Amino acid sequence: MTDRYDRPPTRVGLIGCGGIAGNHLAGYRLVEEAELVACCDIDAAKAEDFARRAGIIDAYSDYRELLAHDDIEMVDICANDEAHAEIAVAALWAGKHALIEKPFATTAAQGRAIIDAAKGAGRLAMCAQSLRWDPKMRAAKGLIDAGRIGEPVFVRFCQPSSPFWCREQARAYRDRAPDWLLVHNGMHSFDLLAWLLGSLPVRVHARSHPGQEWLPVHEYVSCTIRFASGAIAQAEENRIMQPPGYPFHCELYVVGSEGTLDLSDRLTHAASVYNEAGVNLLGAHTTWTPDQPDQPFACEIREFVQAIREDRPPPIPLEFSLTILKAVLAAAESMHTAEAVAIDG
Amino acid sequence: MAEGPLRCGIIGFDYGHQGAFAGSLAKHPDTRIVGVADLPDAPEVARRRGREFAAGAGVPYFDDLAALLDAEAVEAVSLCAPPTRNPEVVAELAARDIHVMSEKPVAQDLAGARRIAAAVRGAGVAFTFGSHAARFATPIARAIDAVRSGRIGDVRVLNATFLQPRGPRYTISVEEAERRRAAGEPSVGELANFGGYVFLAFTAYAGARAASVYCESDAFFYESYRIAGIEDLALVSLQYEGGAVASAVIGRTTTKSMPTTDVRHEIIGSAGVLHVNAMSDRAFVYGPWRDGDEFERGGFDTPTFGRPSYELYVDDFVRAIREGRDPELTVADAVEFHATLEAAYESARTYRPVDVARD
Ligand SMILES: NC(=O)c1ccc[n+]([C@@H]2O[C@H](COP(=O)([O-])OP(=O)(O)OC[C@H]3O[C@@H](n4cnc5c(N)ncnc54)[C@H](O)[C@@H]3O)[C@@H](O)[C@H]2O)c1
Repeated sequence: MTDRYDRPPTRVGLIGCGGIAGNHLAGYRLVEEAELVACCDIDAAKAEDFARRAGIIDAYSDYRELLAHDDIEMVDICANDEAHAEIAVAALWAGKHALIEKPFATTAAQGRAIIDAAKGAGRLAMCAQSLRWDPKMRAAKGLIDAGRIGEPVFVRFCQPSSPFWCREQARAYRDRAPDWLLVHNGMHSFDLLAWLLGSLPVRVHARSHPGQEWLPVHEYVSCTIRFASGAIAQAEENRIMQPPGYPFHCELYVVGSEGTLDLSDRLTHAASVYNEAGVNLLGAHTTWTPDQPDQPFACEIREFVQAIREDRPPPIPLEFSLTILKAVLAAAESMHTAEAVAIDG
Repeated sequence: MAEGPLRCGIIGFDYGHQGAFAGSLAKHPDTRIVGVADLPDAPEVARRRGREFAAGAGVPYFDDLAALLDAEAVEAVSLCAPPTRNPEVVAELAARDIHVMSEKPVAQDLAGARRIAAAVRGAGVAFTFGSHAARFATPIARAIDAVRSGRIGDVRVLNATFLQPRGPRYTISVEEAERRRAAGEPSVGELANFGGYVFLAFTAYAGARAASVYCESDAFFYESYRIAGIEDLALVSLQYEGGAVASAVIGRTTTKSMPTTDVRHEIIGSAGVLHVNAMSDRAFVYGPWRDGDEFERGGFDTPTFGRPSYELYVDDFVRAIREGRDPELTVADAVEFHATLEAAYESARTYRPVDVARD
């Protein structure tokens, strides 16, 4: 398949064939401009299984072997958080563009090293933020940008869920820090809030609850965030819902100077806008299926690939994501010190 | 105690709420309104409301509280005076052995609330205050019962929204804000006004007191609030003794098409979750299955058109006096609320979490 410039699709190697790689695979199936040609996992069986599902031949267990292939133009890094920076820096210096799952790095220094590598090698890198392409969130962004609720001044965002972990995994989580859930997942909500508000966070305070006693990770963190625009927000990391099986969903509540946007898919899958025109019920088109063309992972991949092909900056600048990462790390610091932390932008 | 119905005085119509409180007292089978009075320097608008109520009830109106107390044997009052004046007024009432039901916030600051507590305790009179929705609104009262009976296990996390959509005609105009600023008179922000509805429900859910408060707030919507230096919206994060953590957004927005005040509580426990939404007539429980009880349907009824919470609150006050017990909302709760509020205000100024003061 070729694009409107008659060029063949961009050749992609995916690194880290676990859970989220499956979502990316569903995305690639819908993106004409990209073609998955290789994959890699330190667990060779996982790499082979993924290759089978994706219909590709080249499966590696060492990412350096994948990077050695000159015809691979882009890597999609779906490995665990701690592996992102090393793989990304190596890939960029090997001349590949890099889409990196969140958190794209786990320290600010790593984040800076990735930005430097991208600049030095003249390649694009972007932190994946699938929530921005979620149809619900795009609807919310569209309404806010169209001025339907005036100037947004307060946002609450949460995705409550039961723990993904169970007692049998106690060993696997034994060495995790209390802030692990926040650092692992916080970039989702902090990025979403900054994007919706069109403003960067300047100060954050966090409180947490350990939840189940048998693991050190705190299953609940609530962050109070002040943005440069003056807006304030609450963002939750929530895996504390009991009993197990609580339906995962997300809630977004935005108060503006002229109206309120209430988007909750709890029980109803409904979204409502209260503004000067009264109440608008947006109805039930707020969920998505993996095969719909505008599903979030397909959109995220497509827009990054298009930026590569058209030689323009990626939709989410890495400098922006670095500030978001710093804000999440500031929240983690606040969790430990109990003090509010200023975010160095 | 005198025979016959409880002899009640109505003091101050500075706030519109007095209509509901005085009206509920007047309707109560065990009370009789004996007179209406204002503080000597009350504004004309309050006096007009007071005279109207007195005329409707067929009782005398007094320009001065002292005149009412000298003329009639008053056993209990409903007080709606400015919070700056309440400590002195409550002290005067308590000294005459009169029970007090006061509008919230009961004082302008923690020191004022403590003066009230000392006066009330010294005299041994009953005292309660108008954060009635925190304990008497049907959905919240039922949620507190469910949580305290162990329905969702130990309380770990609390979340609440209390956003009233109606604009500043319920509070102050730009001119009034400018006058007060010039005169150095304080005003009451929305956290002080509505915070009790949330914090006092939280303490009931958690079965514990707030230990530390962090707050970000602003005057986002109303020019008059900016001039008066008060907040119209606040996001408060609390740590409770015993470990529960809580967040609440509290304020007054401009979203006029919101059907009613947006009141939502989420109570997350070790064995279940409870969601209360005042715009719905059901509260949803996500938790262990129990055969045979109404929870079988996933929640419980929270009828919006049941008895209003201020009526249940007034009834509790009258019964507490009759039964010689504390009302549901006590003077200790008022002090606790003001300690939490003061910590929130200090936090909003300093950008630091602040410990809640203890006596
Ligand atoms: N966008 C989203 O909504 C979303 C959702 C879940 C996870 N994620 C992110 O995706 C990443 C992966 O999460 P997951 O849930 O798929 O985890 P997972 O553990 O299921 O999969 C990760 C895989 O990477 C492999 N891996 C680890 N280090 C590697 C290395 N150096 N080289 C090659 N492979 C390596 C592991 O063997 C594993 O198979 C995480 O960074 C996570 O934060 C994003």
